[in-house]
Amino acid sequence: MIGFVLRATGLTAVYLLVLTSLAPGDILVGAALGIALAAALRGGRHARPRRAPSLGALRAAGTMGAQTAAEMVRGSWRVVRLCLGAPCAPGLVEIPRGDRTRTEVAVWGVLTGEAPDEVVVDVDEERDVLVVHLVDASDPDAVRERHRRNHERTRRQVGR
Amino acid sequence: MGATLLAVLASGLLVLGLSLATIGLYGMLRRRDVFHQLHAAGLVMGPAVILVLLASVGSGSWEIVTSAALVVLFVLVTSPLSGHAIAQAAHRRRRRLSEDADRRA
Repeated sequence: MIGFVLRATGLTAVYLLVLTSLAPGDILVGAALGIALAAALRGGRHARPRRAPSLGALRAAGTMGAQTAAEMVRGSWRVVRLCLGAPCAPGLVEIPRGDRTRTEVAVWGVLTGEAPDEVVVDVDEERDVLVVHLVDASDPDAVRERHRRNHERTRRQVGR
Repeated sequence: MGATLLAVLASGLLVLGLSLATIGLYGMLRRRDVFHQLHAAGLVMGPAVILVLLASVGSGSWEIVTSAALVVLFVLVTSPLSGHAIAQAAHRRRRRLSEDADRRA
């Protein structure tokens, strides 16, 4: 049910954002369209049952967003230093994929790439690692440890 | 008072965003390695653009702010993906060239 409400609210929000309007009539039409579309999407999900996002998952999403924002700020500073010619040690770092599913790897890759000092280069399926190019690759173990810690925190919050 | 504060905030965001964009552009021209250029481009296409878009709060217009919010979401999704596509191509090309060189040696 939470998933349905979230989808309907999200679709309504996109409709209102595109219209750039908060007029009551537009909100009503947007809500009707959002609910109808969310219901249609729910009806088409007979292929495999999906769990509705729990409150823990929402909290984990919030934490991930905050971590990503903090990494964007720190990463911007590192890239500014790189651009201005400060000494740094750029290089490739391989981060173990761990027990992440394919979807989790995709989300992890996008969130990692938000910080300008980390560019996701490849996912090596054979060695089960994410290859990332970093502005500061002087301590690869610390980078791996940071990603492992963040992943474990997310897992704990989701309750898996 | 509120409008003045918003205008000051927007000016600060705009100056910060444009400064980051300028530094990023300088880095792109100065650096020769494709990965280094990607980091500089990431600075321009990510934080710099987002800060400039956030400066739209100073306009006081809901139409502009909501449009900017949509563009920020779009940038947040597309910026890492475009960086990854270029980095992956560069990495694979470099690996193929090094394998060819090894075979010739």
